[in-house]
Amino acid sequence: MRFDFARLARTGLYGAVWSGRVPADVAGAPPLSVWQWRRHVHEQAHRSLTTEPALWVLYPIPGDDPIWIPFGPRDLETGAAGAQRMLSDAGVSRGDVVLAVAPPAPWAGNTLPYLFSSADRLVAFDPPARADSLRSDEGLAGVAVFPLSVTTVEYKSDLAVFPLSRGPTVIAGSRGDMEALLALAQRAGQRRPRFRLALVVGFAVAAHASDLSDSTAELLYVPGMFAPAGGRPDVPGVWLPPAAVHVELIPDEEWGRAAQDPSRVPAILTAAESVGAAGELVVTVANSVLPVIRLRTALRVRVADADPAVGIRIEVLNRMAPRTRDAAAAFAPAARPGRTRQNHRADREA
Amino acid sequence: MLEPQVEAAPAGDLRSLEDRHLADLIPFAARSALYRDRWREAGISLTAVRTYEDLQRLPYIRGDDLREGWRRAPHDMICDPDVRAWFATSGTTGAPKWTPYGPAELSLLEDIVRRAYYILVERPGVFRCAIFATPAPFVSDVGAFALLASHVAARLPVEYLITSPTEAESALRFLRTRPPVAVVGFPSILLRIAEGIVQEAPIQAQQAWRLRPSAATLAGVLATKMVRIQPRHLFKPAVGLFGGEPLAPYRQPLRETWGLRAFELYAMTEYPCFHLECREQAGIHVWADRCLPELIPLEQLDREDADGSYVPRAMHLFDAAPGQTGEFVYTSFGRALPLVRYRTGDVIEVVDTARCGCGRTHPRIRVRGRRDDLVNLGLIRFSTAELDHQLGALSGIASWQLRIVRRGYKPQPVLYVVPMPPPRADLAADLGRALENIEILKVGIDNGLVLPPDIRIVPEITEVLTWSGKRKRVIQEAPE
Repeated sequence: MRFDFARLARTGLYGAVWSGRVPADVAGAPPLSVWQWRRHVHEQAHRSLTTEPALWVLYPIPGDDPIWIPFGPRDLETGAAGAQRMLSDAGVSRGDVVLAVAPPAPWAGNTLPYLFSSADRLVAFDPPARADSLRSDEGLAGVAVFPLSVTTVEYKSDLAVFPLSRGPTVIAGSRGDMEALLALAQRAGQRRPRFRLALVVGFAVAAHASDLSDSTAELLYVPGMFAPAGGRPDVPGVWLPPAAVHVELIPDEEWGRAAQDPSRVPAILTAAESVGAAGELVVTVANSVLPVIRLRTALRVRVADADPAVGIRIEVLNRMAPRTRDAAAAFAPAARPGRTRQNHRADREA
Repeated sequence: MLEPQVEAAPAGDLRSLEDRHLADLIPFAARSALYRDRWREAGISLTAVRTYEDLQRLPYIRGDDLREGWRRAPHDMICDPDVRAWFATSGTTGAPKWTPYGPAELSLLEDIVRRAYYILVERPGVFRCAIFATPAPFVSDVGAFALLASHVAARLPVEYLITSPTEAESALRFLRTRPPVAVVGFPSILLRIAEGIVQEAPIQAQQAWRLRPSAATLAGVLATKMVRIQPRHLFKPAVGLFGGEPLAPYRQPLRETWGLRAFELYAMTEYPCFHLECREQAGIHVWADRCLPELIPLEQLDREDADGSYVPRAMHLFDAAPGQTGEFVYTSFGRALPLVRYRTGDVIEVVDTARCGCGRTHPRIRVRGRRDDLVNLGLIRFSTAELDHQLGALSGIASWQLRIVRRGYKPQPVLYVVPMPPPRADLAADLGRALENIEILKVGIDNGLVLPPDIRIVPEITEVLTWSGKRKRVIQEAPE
């Protein structure tokens, strides 16, 4: 993963985060916090973007405000191609009928139904090439998706009746949304179905999903990646492909020291160095509009495997607590203009 | 214009194109249980349907036929098994109707939204667009991504922010720094969002000043004290594309609040062909190369109302005279489940079938409302039967009539009730509770899309009759 650091250092975001210095490589760049991202990208995007974006998507940050991530056309294409591979590796196959329980837009999870139904359309980037790709048996052809959201089914529970009558084999979404949807369907007189496969977004929940499906794989939305990272059936965690994301870790003890002393820049371990260790996930993603370099995700993970060829397998444990941003807030409250009214209210209450 | 050879083709060429589609379509559609028996009973030879005149011998289908088909033969309805996604209608006239989309439907959606780009975009530069899409399973959610994919694939300079009305607050906060050139959504929702902005702007300005005292934030506070901040002050979109409900009552308020030029689209989940207004704004162009549009004139509908066994005659939209009104019927050229002579229940008025000032030749219409037994409050709709059921459960009502009026741009139901003598003192309160029991109406009122009902106990009601002499109990006083 290569970056034009000199060019990035001239952007509003990295100019500020790197204090005008140009790192020689990713390892030389200081970590980036989500509030720095919000401050520069949310408020003055035009000063930070390296090219025009095609889409903005909102990514959840555990225990913190979400962040908007821009994507360029090429990011969408590579993301869609990655989604096809990821869903295939996670166990989705030809003939599957998928119940995709998605949050409303602009949340990252909202892209999932589209990726199930049409990832190949984004991959077949050139319109003349598209007709051929549509006849292709590769990718997710032969998979049909029923997009549903809890918001709408709450209002009209019979919306769940028809999809369940079609015998869906796969359910995808967050555990909470899936349960809410199935409860609403039961209220509409539907039996609780059992699926062949559950694709669960969120923390390591494979063991808890066994009452829902024969097997389970996990999904994770990584800020900067258009498509979610996915796991393998009945293997805890998700694989982060090396071509898409560079994984590092701030180990728990180092994170704790930095939380106590905000002037301390925490030591960051490479994925290979941190196999078996737990800590905060730090990601670098080669986004064409605005690369995400060493973003602290506030996700507490364990690095389970690091295979240069396949990628890094991480298990999501929980979120970092206390909130990563609190340490910064204690020392530089005025430097955080991107915060929302809700957060200020929460801070005041605290 | 994206495809002048099609969009500006002479009407004769478009009709020839439709005929070519028909020759393939009918034998293909007969794979579906929706048509097979129906056409066999009607003695239709599938290969003999090659022109519009042949098509007229085929029976119509309606939404109820689709629902019944899915109930009776759920695994024998689809013509092409390569279904990628399913989308639902809101089900205001019964159970939601689910529609399968295959690659052909997704391609159609992408092609049509590319046409839309060339209609909406006037200035060079990035087309920055905020889409307020209803969450799944409605098509606008995934459809917004189809729009994005189509424009990105064509290498058009676009920037999209796709959001749901439920997440409007965070989207709007971000859009302040990336003001959109265009907004897309339901007109009533965008106006409801505008109301929220008007209320919130002074509060937000005060908070910004408290958190970051500066000349800029102070100016913000002063501005909100001097001016009633509207979306147009904050975002300045040039155009808006609106669908889901007729635009007429909302067009002017949208211009005043958002400062945009509003364009209307007419679409339905059953077939993803978005018919659009062009920049002449002289009616919505019905894309006659992507479907075969027909019209059942009003007098035929009235005859059908009077005699249930009468089968009304439709005419091709190209053959309709300007001003002619009737029910819109179309035959889609889809693959997953083509719709052949589908009666939409929408009442349209033909604006013109001659070449438009924009150069396009596709016929132009206006949507006037619904034909079916529906209380239509824009996005909020429910059946008269539901209202009848709620009111029927109350004692002491001799007769009732519901009139839909508009106060400003918002619809308001006004319920006139003639009580049985002697009138009950608590009748008005009971009526209020009965209306509250209509869940969708309550949702509309709670969310500020519909004004609370006005209940009037009156000694008599001025009856309104249909052409065939039936009493109308729901009267749309305002344009729908």
